[in-house]
Amino acid sequence: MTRYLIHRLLTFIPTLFGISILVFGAVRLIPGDQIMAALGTEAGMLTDKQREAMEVYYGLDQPPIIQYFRWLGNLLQGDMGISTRHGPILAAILKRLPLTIELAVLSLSVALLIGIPIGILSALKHNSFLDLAGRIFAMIGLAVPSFVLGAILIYVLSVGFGTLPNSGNYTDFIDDPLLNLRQLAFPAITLGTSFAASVMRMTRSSVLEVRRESYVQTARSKGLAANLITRRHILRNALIPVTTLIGIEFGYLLGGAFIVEHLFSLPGIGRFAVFSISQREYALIQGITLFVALTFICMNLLVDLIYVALDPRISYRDHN
Amino acid sequence: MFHPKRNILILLVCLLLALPALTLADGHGNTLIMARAVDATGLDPHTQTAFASFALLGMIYEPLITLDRDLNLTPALAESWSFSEDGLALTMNLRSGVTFHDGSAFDAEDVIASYERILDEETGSAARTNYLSIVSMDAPDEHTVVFNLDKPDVPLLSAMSTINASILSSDVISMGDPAVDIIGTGPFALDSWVADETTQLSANEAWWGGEIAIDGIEIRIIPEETSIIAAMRAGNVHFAMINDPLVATLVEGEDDVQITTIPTLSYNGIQLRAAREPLEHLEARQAISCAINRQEILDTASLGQGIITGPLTMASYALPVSELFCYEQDVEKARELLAAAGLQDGFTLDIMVAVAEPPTALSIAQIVQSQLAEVNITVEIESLEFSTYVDRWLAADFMGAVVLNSGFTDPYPMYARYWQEGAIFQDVAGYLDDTLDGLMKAGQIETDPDVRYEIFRQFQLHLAETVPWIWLYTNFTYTAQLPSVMGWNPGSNRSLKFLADVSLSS
Repeated sequence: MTRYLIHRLLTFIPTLFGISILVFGAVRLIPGDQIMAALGTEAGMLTDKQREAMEVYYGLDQPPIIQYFRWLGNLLQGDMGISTRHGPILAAILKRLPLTIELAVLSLSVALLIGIPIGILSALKHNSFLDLAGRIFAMIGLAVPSFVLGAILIYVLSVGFGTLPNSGNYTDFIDDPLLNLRQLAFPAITLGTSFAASVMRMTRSSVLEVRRESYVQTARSKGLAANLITRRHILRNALIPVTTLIGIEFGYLLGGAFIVEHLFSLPGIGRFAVFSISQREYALIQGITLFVALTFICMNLLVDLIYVALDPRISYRDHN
Repeated sequence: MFHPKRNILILLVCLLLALPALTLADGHGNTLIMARAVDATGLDPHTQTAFASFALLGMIYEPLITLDRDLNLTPALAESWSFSEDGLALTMNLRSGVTFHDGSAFDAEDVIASYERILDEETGSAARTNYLSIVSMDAPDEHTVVFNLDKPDVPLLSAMSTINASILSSDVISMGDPAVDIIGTGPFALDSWVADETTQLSANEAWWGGEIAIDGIEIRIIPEETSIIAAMRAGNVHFAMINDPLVATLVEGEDDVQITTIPTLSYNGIQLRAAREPLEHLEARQAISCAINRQEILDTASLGQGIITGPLTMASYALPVSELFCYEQDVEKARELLAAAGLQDGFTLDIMVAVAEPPTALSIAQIVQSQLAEVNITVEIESLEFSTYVDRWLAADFMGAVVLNSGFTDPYPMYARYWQEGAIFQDVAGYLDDTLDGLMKAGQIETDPDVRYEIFRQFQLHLAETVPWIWLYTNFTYTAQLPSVMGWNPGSNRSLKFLADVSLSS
């Protein structure tokens, strides 16, 4: 297990290195630079000397390859650079990351709280009215994009209830937990709904499949109580593919946060990334992408470890 | 025991119970809570070019001259000014008793240091070109500055009224960093700025302009303007800047949120490059101007939220559009002009647009496409990402481009970059003739207001007739405010410095 863990952690290095090259190249393939993003067509008003001075200011005066290795060298020393608008980049990312992770976790909770019970119910009451209702929910959840659902929620809250929990005044969990949860409730519902639909569908099909397994039939024939069979034999096995789904979708939740944070005005990493891209802040875009990638691969590792807890047949024991 | 039904029921009940509890009463006190979608791109007033930056910095910094609600030049840090007989010296008499936000006194040394910084190429000020007539500055005493010019330069006064000509503390310039040490003389002092999130301003109690009724302003960045309106309906935001006419018109007539419409000097248009075949034929360009219906474009692309305009958008110089060539759609005349140019079978016009810059750009191009189809001109639309668009624009690599260009209060700085021999964007403008060049040069040095008006009247008539570009309409911008915001009156000036006049009723 330890060797497996070390092996997986070591694979992080080439993965992140590859991502760093990809993102470094990709942001520079976009036409324009930070000077052009800041000045628009006014960039044409600059004299050569002015342009050179600004290139030095924004760190664009060196060839890209030197910029890359300079950035990578600093990165290995824990220095992600300095943004002209946000100060030290590492601190700026770390300040915003907890909100996005909290939003993703809350959205995941919403998805699991809604998706798993409805999925189980749908499967247990197969082809009933409840099953039909559950499947309709799943279809709607998957079909309605989060920006539409979010806009509807904002409209209903402001017009129908005269309230909007977050109006650009986001409060950290540590400062005021209750207010923080109020502010994140509706963004989490927005982000979690489509995920809930995926979870519901996966849970339903998985439970239906496991119910047909021979060990479930055996348990039934042994006269075990239906609830016990459901809890001990069906759910535990049916949740393995759901766990895989959660691991994959958690990364997408971070991506989905880009839209929801923008819509609900939450100062998380998603909104930060959108602004950074529009301002062509290269070092910021690179830093944010690396962090999101790191979170993604960490989640994948975590899911693989959870398999062990869920399924005794899976083992990462060291082999000689 | 697992009870899925019960769990769902509990969840739904919890959600329903939570809704009423979500009503928040923000403890605003006497601080104005303001929202806008876009934040400043930076805080150095000498290098900024975005209106979002000007809006914030205009509350913190002041130039020597400013614009009143009707966009007339009015004293700010200079109480009065005068040109010498030969127009080669501009004397500024500075206001006394003014202090910077850090308590230091404002004097001639700050003015000279600020203008030296603007003129220094190392600063990277895109507006530097507007002040190049200044060759030296003298300070006969601490409240007088004389700008020595290499030629008479009437538009200099207009250029001196912009945020790019803000006066910074000479101490900050010499020992600090103007991008970080934000110390101005304006009605509000900067307490904190978290880019793209929040800005805290406090009222400058020592402001020379008088007492400010509010304690300060908290500016929140809410990227979606519909979310801003939702926050206002919820009572969480007092005041907002709105750019999207669709959002502004959505709340028109509501009692809870009031909309103030402010005309702007910016104009929408289509830049043609007369250097490109077949646009080098005067009749081809004129045919385009005659074939389009400007009112229809305004009504469709911007929901009628704007004013049809000629080349000059400032009220003091703008001609009635009825005096301009072919401002009424005349398809027959367009066909005759095309025939005269030997283009009766039409031609293809490539028009590039930047995605969402402005949001109406694509609509404008599509409506023009359908209108020009009537005279056999086929419009091919190229929709480009903004930076690609800017790249191509700067390289003059286009045939036609939908533009939203800034306006000025004076005609000369508005067009000196395009319609003058050796102008920095002459190639981008794609057209120049001796008449235009002569009118611009005459307009720069003429000091008699009536003669100057006539010069720029001819300038407008000539541009409308030679059609190097198609001018369409000016935009409106909007503010939204709750009824509790009293005294907001920007007139025709969208500067937020007038927030110094507002108060909050309980």
